[in-house]
Amino acid sequence: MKKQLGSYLTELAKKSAAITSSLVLGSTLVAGATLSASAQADNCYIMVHGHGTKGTDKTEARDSWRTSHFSQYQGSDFMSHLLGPTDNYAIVGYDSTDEAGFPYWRDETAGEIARQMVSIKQGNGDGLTHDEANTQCSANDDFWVVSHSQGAQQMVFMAGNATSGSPYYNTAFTASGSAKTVPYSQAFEGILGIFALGGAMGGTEGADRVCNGSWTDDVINLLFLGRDCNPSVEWLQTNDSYLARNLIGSNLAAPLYAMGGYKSFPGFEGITAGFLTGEDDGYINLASQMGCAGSPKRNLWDDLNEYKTFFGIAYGSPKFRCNNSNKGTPRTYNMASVYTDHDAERNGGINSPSYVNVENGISCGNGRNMAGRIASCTQ
Amino acid sequence: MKLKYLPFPFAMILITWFVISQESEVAIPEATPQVLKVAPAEPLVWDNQEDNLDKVTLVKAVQRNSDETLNPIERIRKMSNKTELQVALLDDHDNFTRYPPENRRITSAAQDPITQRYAIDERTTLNEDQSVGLTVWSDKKFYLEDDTVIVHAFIQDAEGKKITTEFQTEIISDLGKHGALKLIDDNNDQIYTAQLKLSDSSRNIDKPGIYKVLIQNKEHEILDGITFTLSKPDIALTYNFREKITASGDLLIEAEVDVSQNNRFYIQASLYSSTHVPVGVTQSTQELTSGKHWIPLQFAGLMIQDAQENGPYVLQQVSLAKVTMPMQRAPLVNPGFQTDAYRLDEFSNNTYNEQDKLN
Repeated sequence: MKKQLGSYLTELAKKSAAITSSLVLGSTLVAGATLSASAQADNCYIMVHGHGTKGTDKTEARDSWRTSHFSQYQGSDFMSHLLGPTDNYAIVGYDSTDEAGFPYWRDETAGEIARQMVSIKQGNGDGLTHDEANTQCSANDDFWVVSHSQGAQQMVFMAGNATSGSPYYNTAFTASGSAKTVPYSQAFEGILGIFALGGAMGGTEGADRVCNGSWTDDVINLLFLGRDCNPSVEWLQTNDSYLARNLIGSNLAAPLYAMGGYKSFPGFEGITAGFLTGEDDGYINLASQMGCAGSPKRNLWDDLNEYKTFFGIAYGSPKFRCNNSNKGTPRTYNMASVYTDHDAERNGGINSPSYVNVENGISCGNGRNMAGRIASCTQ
Repeated sequence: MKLKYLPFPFAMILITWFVISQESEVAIPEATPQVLKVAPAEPLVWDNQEDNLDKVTLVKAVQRNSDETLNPIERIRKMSNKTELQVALLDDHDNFTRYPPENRRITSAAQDPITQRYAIDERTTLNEDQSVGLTVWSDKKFYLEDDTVIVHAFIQDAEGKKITTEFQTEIISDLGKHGALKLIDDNNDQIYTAQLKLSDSSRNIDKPGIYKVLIQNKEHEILDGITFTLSKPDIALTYNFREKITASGDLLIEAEVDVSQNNRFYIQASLYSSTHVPVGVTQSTQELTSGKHWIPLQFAGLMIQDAQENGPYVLQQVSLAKVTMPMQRAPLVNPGFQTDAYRLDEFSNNTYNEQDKLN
């Protein structure tokens, strides 16, 4: 009871802060136009991390949004760019490590994420004590999914099998290979949108190289993918046979807004970009991040077009445009192409990255990093 | 000027106007002040005069309650200042809820998901200094046990000129290694080709699953692979169809299938006009037992209306698959079944009501 009362009071304090802030706004906007604005619920951002995190430990799942491989980004935290005064978040955790080796269609990945999403939307919280006061989601919030890297691949598979008639409707697979019923449709009820940041929607050429035996740089390999082609890496390859888009139905259960990064990693690790065709964020080809139709390793430029080239110089009009009409999955939309690497995408390590205007892009939050863009666009 | 110094009479006028305007827009449920929860961007009318505070609180509660009866989409729709994303979100929502979730409108053949799933997976890999590229592909992505896989590869320099070269290959899968192929340039066009007969027992390519042909060019230190799925779909069309317009004004085509083993199956089909204008796709997943079954393929009347094409309509492409991991798709079928010459006005123009989805 005491805890409940405390929780109520802190919630009240938080809302009071909002009232104060609204008063300031209201003092300049007394006119009827503002009065006609509709009340809005709090945003709840459901955070789905990428590959290589033992997210069954929720602390590790939370840390995946604030730790860094590079000293340049140390101390940065995605949440500090994402959360406004009344925003909430919930950490989803699943085991995406190479040691576990679970592909995206397993109960331990897709099934686990779905169950946690359902629980979060019921107002049960995420089981963590947040450093940011009063940021647990409640059942009447507006729900968004923020996914990074493999998290986006998870979203495509799950949302693509959450509508009736889809092939793996509410189904994941167990270690024995048998089908298990899981709550995809329930998980996506009321989800307003999915943000895919540096999403491995079309896999990554890095996984191709690991599985083909041609990724020669063990340091890079060790940092971001397993040395061996375990099933979790195998199903991150860019061949169509492995892609989630090949395993879904006619619709996603929620719209997906893709943000792609096109900056190499800092320092020595920047050589990874040389192993990936087209623009990339050091880890994933841009065509994959943007969910383009056709080969995920097509030679996409940062403006999301593919050109004929002569000695590497583009000429003529684009031979392929990765606009909203040329996506490999339904209800998939361009949001932004941002000068950010795969590490900074998830920890907000680059505060104000440059960007390229893209066809069908969404401009709210231009000039901010991916977290800031989401904040600006969902305010 | 801060609102707390707003003159009392003016505040009362505002409150009165606000209550009236809210009542005119939405049905207001009975006020329950205990659910007072103020959203950040809301305009507030506030006054420090004690006798007015209760009225203001009540207004807030009424407004909040009225908005809580709306789902998030409708609340966003009511917002006076929407972000570009919120506008896009409403547009997507309106398009998505226009038809049943099994249906999706397509406006070009390239958007047809069946075309995309069966499209040749041509891949180009650049070498480290990006001076040459290796392009590889196979003639299909899904094969049956008696099929022959045809593999192609070429090397191209930065000027786009194909190069005479040699390739090494290896066939691998989760089950192990399955030998090599000899890629040959038969007609001196620098496109190298090999054929893989899946029925060749020496290769042990007999289990359904994903197989990869690794293709390496040592001269330019470049390597990539094509993958294909060996399917045993256990389902086939009999090419018997029947059709009608349902009581709800949708087009229902039933396709007869012959199932050879009990399993869960996925069927996806695309509808075009007889003038080749795409209409949309539908899908169905069913547990089926051995024997013949009629599979319903329902296309929303409004989706047909939106295509603005009178009948007859053509069942352009049908994809049948056994739902395992990976999915075992049957070869693409173009049944060419044509419906009667229905007129557009015979179909329903009602949208699919999916309002509850976001409640």
